[in-house]
Amino acid sequence: MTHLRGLSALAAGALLGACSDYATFVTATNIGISADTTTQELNIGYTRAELFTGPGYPAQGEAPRVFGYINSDLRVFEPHIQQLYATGDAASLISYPQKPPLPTTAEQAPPPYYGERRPMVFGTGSTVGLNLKFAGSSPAPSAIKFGYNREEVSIIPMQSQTPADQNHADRYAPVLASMDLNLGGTPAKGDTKPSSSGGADASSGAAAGTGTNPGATALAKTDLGITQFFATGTAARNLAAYDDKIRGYFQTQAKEAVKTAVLTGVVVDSDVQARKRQITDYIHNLFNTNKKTTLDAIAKILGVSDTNLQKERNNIVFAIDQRVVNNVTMDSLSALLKPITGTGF
Amino acid sequence: MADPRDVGFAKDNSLDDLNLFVRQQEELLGPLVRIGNDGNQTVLTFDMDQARPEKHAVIQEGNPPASGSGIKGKVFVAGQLKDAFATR
Repeated sequence: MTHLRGLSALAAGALLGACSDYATFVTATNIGISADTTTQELNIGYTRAELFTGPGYPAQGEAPRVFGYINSDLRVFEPHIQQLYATGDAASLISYPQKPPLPTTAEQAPPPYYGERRPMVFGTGSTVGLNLKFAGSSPAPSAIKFGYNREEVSIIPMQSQTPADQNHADRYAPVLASMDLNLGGTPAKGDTKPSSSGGADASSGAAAGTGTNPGATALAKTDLGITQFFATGTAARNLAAYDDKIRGYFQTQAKEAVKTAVLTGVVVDSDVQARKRQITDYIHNLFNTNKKTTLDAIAKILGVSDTNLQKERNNIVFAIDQRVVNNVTMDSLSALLKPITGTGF
Repeated sequence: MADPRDVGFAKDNSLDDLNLFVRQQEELLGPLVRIGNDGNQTVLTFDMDQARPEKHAVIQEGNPPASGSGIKGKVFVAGQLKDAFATR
């Protein structure tokens, strides 16, 4: 973790001060033993820290988009780890459940590298195995790391001036880093330790990831023990959007989590229940009158599309039931669907 | 065809609240077909491929009458796991 601390402190000191026109996203992961006499810290087992600092947009209820993910069996020896780190568009694309359409020729134009230039930092550091550091002439190490250790940091500039409106909004550059580490002969089963952090925005992107993967059967069958990506800008966007391996790190876990999670419902007030019944009846009526186009449009907005229309109807009703817990959430849903339904509920 | 969907309900709720929740869920999702728990909360299963029932299921503590039909399981009532059954 000292590597990260040094890197982030250096960048922060050089660039940031107390500015809110920089967005800083940091993760630090240690699996094994880590000791440092300078900081007088000793970590044994699993430690992970995730930190984001940067501008928020309280008037819009928004924050810069970041994404941190780790999946590990937590073995110190022969670990399986997958790690993913992304900001900006890369964070959105990697967490979006479906791949976007391939870009058109026009969208593949050279990136818009013009306007004010500001310093930007994106870095990762990883160690696997034994890492010793010595200070001065002392024969005793000043820092010891044994196991897996990784740090990821990005310090991304926003525009200097306050973004006045939608046309002058901050844009958060994309970065992406990934790590897939598998030093074991056979993948671990079930021992996972996911962790993620997120926020929201509009600025620059970078992505980085590392990992050992309990489910990486294919990787385990190869001689290759480590795969690592590091990208910024359009490269980060493309990897996040279209690379099956990188998308697979998160998507598989996310789908499994959704599949197994039982969401907790609540009793709602009678007026809310009446509104939920009204919209549920409306959905059933669409199904009974075979209004497939409308049902598809609603399902798409709610992210519950299905090729089987009855299943899709059920998905919609279930999603509405889970989403609406009071009049505020009902108002929000009603407004969301109004462009399709043409009416409020 | 059946399309069972699980819905959780917090363990500290009363039996009255549980039954109100069952009624509200049946009005939207379909008939209650299974009751149980996942160790942390009560888990109720509704079949969304069946028509929403006019007469709603009612969960009671204890074991069902020997001759009666119904759904049996363990649910949380005021934080405690209880044997329960549902009839309509």
